[in-house]
Amino acid sequence: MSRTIKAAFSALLAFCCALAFWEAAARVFILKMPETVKLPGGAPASSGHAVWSYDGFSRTFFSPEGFRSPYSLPPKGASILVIGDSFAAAQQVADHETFPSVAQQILQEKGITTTFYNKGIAGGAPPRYIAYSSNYLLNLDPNLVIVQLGERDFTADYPGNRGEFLTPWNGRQFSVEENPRFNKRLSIISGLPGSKQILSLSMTSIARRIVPVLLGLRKGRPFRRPAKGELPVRTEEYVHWTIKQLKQAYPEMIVVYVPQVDYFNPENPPPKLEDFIEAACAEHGVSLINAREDYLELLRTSGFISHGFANTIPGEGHINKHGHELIGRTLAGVLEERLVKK
Amino acid sequence: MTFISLSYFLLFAATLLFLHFTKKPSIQKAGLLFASSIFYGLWDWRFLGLLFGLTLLTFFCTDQMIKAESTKRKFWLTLQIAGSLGTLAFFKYANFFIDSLSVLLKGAGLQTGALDIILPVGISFIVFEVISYSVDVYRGELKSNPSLLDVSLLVAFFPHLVAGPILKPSHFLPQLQSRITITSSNLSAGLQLFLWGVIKKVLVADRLSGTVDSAFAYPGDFHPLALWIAMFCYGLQIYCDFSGYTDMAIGSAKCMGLEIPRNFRLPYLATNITDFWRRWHISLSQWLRDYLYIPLGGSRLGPGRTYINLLIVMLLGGLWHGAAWSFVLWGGLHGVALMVHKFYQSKVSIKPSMPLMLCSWAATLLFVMLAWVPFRAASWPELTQYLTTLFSYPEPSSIRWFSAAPLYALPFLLIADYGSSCWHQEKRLHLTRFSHQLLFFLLMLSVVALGPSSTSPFIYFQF
Repeated sequence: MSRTIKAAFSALLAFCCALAFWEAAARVFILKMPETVKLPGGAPASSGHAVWSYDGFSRTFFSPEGFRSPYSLPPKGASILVIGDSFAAAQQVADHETFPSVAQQILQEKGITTTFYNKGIAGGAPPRYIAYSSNYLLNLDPNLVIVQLGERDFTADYPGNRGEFLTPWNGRQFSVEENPRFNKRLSIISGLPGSKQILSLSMTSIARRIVPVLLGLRKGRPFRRPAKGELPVRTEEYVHWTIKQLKQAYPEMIVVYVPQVDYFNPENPPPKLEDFIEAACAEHGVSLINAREDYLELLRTSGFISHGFANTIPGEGHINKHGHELIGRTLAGVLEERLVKK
Repeated sequence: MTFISLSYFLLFAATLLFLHFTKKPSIQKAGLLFASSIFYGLWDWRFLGLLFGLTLLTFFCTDQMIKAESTKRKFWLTLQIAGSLGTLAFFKYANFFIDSLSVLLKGAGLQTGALDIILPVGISFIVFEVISYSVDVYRGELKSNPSLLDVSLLVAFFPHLVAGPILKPSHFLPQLQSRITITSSNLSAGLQLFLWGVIKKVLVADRLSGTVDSAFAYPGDFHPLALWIAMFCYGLQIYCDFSGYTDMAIGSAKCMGLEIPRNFRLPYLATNITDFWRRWHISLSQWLRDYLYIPLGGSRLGPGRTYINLLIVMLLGGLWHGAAWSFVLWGGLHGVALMVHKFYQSKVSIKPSMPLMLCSWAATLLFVMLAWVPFRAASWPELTQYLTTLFSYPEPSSIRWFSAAPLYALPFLLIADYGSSCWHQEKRLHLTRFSHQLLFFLLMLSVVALGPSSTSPFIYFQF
């Protein structure tokens, strides 16, 4: 019996050591997913180099505040604030290849000095940009605000209840409300002794995403041929409401729309959603950059696709350096016009 | 239920506890059969009837065979084989033949109907298992007369039920004659092999599946180099998927103190195609040799007949994998390669040297990988498009996407293959020692820390 107990203790110690090893590796390489914490302004809990297993593994540096660019750079020339989700945060894309950096470099070459504040953050969505507008603008008086939007902002995240905010429809209009269930999923575990320490482990965060998929309790994201999905009800109203609210929060705003592109069936017409966004931006006097045509042109001329990386599924997930460069070039053109006019 | 699932871990733990606390062998076997029924029934409980129907047919026929005079034994064997193959033909090949017939008849302006038959999981493995048992009884290779419970377990023993390995009755049945004892050394050994299997499946096969799936879904759109990478990725994926499954099966059985023979022996190190088939899916190769190739005459009837026998065996082996002409083509390619190698061996005798071995290894690997293309292609147009693009110059709009997934997967393949091979050579971790425990947990947690965000089903489950 004593041998069994000794072996059990030894196993426990070995497990703890192995966990500590992987925890150290995770702390160095893997950033906490932002939806696990809730801070004003959307800063995630820790900084450093991020290695995202969701999109394969590659290092992307985040500032101590959790953004791609430092929070409080001394402004030189026109200051431009970039708000968006993980597409703007540009996981797996080098600092100088993100679309704000590309635009900044092009403008610099043309003699226009700008400072970009890239506050793109994974999990960002329009209700958050609206609710936290004062936090986003904190200590900044930007000449322009770039709001990066994507298809998910109007489909998966609306009217879902997984995000930080809900946007209920009261019969006449939408509103932004805090999601009472956000970050409460572990409330039972949170009550247990020592749970705070356990939940703060990076390995716990990773395990919460990976283990349910491994055990078949939750479906992962395997490659699938694009489906012709129906839009949620009242999408058109939601798009108009979103653009209107964003315009009120950020009067000097340009919308950068990152579309989902079916690179394997490029002849398919764009989704109806893009018509809604175009119409809403026109109605509210907002400049819109939609990268769809640029992405398809790049495919036709050089065979490069703008979504996905060498270690992920091609055509899916985040945009790569090609996708960023094309947006950056178009954005530089629009900004040049706007800034010179001013 | 699959091996990497919460339900399997619960069932497995419950089975181990039951076996540990049960003294009587017959009750242990009944419990094991019950667990196997749950394992299979969770896919589709309706096919439990099919599973036990085939077992009953086999037991009845072999029982009659044992009692019958020598002249009547052949009748019972024929009945059993006809019943088993008839079941397989109905469930697996009816749609295939109707579809093929309808293509032929369409040219003549005639139309045929279609049957909507669901393929029971693991039907090909189950049928081969019952046939091997009845043939062994016919040949008198079994020393004792097994009970219905023993035969049921031979067929339904859950670790090997849906994707093999196909067990040799003479090897497995004697193990059921004594009480199953759960020992710490068996548990330790079994868990280790199970972990190597999980690493192969999750960190290699699942990591590569994204590359393979997208390239095979739109082969005409990609740059040829991307398709070459995807082709090699599929070769690694199917190997790690299937050998990972086998390792988990052998590991699960080992925990219960039951031995299942090795099914893979580093097949991609084969230096010729005959060598490859001695290393790849060994239990199927042995089955085809013992129950098809040798009864056809093997190599006893002259070189011409040997070549034909090889081709027949491989064509049927291909068809066994799935009801599609692409599988027949895959089998045919391997059959022709085996014929060519046999012919070459009989005519040329060169002293083996390192450069020759390397060339031979590279040529074998390239052939095996190319042959996987028809095996993986979902349809004939997809296959022709893949092969056409593979050997063509890239168009300007060909998608230039070169997967880096093999770079992530290869180190784990090497580690897991090395670990698995050491295990089979009895070089195992001693899970009572701290350093070995630490290594075990480091590997275990690597699956969590580095696992991909999606998993794919076991490839061989479809067969």
